[in-house]
Amino acid sequence: MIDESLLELAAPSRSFRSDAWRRFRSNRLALVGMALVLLLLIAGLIGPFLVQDPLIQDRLKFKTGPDSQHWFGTDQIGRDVFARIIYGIRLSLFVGFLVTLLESLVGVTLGALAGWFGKWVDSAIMRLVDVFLAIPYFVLAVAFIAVLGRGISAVIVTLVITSWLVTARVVRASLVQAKEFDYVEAAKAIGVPTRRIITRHILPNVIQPVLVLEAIGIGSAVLAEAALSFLGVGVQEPTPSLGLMISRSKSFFSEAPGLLFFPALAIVITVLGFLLIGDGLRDALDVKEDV
Amino acid sequence: MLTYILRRVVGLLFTVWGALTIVFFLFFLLPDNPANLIAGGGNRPVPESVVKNVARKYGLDKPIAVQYVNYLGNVATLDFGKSFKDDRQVSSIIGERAPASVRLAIWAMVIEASVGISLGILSAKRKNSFADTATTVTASVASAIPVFVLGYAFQQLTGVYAFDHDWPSWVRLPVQGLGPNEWFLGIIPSIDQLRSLVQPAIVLASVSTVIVARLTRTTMLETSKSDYIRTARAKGLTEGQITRKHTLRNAMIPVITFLGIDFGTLVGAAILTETVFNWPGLGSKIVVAAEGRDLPTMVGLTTVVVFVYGFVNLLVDISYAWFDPRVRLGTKGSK
Repeated sequence: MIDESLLELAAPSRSFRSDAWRRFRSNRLALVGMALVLLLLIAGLIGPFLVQDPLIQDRLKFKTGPDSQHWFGTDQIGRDVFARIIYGIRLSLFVGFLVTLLESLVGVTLGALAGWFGKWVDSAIMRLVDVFLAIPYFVLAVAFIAVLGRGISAVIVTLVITSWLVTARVVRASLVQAKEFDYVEAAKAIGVPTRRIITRHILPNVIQPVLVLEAIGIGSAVLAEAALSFLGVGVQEPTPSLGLMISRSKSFFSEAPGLLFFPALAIVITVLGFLLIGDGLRDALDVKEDV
Repeated sequence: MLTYILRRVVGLLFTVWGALTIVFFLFFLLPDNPANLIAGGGNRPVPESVVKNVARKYGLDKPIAVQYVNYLGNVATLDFGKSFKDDRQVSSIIGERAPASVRLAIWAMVIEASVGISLGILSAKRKNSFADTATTVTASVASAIPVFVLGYAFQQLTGVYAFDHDWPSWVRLPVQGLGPNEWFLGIIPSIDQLRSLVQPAIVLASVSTVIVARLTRTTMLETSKSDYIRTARAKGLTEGQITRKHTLRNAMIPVITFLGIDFGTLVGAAILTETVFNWPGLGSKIVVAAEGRDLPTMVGLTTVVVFVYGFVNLLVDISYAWFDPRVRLGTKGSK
């Protein structure tokens, strides 16, 4: 038996979590991502109380460039673009976080069921995932929206239905892998209760890839909402949505490029922020890259 | 090997059937009566008798289960029925749109493979250099730009700005549609055709190019740590030889897998690109059909797209199993 105090002398004990955080902090791109997301959260949560009403039309100014009253100018019917973007960011973040939360609940539950029970439960769930994944994403989305009707709640439900699939697959794969690890076998052999094996030895291995996936997933959900709204099947006028703003402004590009440029920039910043955080987490947690 | 292929073919048929079934029944969850829509209803009232006749013509008056079985039977003989919108055979719509999709996907593929792999190799060979960092940062930013914004940026540049500022004619490009539809040997575009093809192909390839570059970089770096690379270096091969003969060949396996799977996706899922550039392919038609509640067109096109996706996947997996016995024996994930 080794005297534990000797081990403490040899190296300061550091938990995996503090180790990961240290690695994350030293990653410059990940910090840029954090800063971008922080900026967006401030803009989305506090911004709406400070800016003008995004629906009010200034009847004297259409498609004007930036000035002191309208920082990003006005749109084709005289609404303040800056206010619409702030509200659009709030909507994007709301959709991104809510979709990711619901989607990971469904995906983790079903993926865990499949991975843990194996056999027919596994085949049934994973077959379903395969079939859904084989249908092109937008076809599925448009079909669901046709059923649910247009609008924000239809977008959220549709995105949840189409995005839990990958989560379930990842959870199942890492669970199946974790079950085979030698230390799990060992824990079983010395009679550690199942509940403790799950919480102490298996869950940490499953949770990490999910964290990475969901961080990037928030960005993907934002992108998907923008794309659906752009195609005209997502959020409807007059609700300020970044994708909708882009689709409405394309015919005025030469006169008012800002109408397209600013919402596009907002989308890029949002998606990029979450992408960089996800990448940082992947490196910090040392998750194997999946295609 | 034969059992493996057989198992996968059965799996593919199951997937196609499942996808077809999902889309078919989704359609019947729709709140409105399809016969009424076909008869021109929705906004204005249509006489009851007309709706009834339409329902009979398209077999919509039978119970859903009967319609489903009939439809499956027809699909088994490759008869996808007629479009609700313009009464055309769905199979002829497929025949007309599939070539445009496949050609666009192939050229997008060529771009993502050549640009993506070269950038990935460059990044890996000069790890942490300026070129590497620049590639990584550009890749992250590029993958955050929505496809439709990228499409518009191209259109504004080549279709509007270039004309306003008298740029040379080779950058003044058409930004809408298929163009003259001239192809040599079915795939090589004529000069005029190239002018219409180049932009949608680049935009369609953009997202995957980034993934290919990243994947190539990762696998190159991983492979270069292998024992056989050290051996190759020890026996005195030059760095160029090592890269060409050892690192690259092994690092390309996952990249080629990705490219194969991605091709299946590009054929059917180029919806945003096709919409922005008005390219007459499969993906954009599916969305139009779904919005117009045009069941036969929607299910028919979806079935084809799912089949292509599954079939390409199958080919990739079979070739993979051919080269790597661990896969066909099932000792390594069957993916």
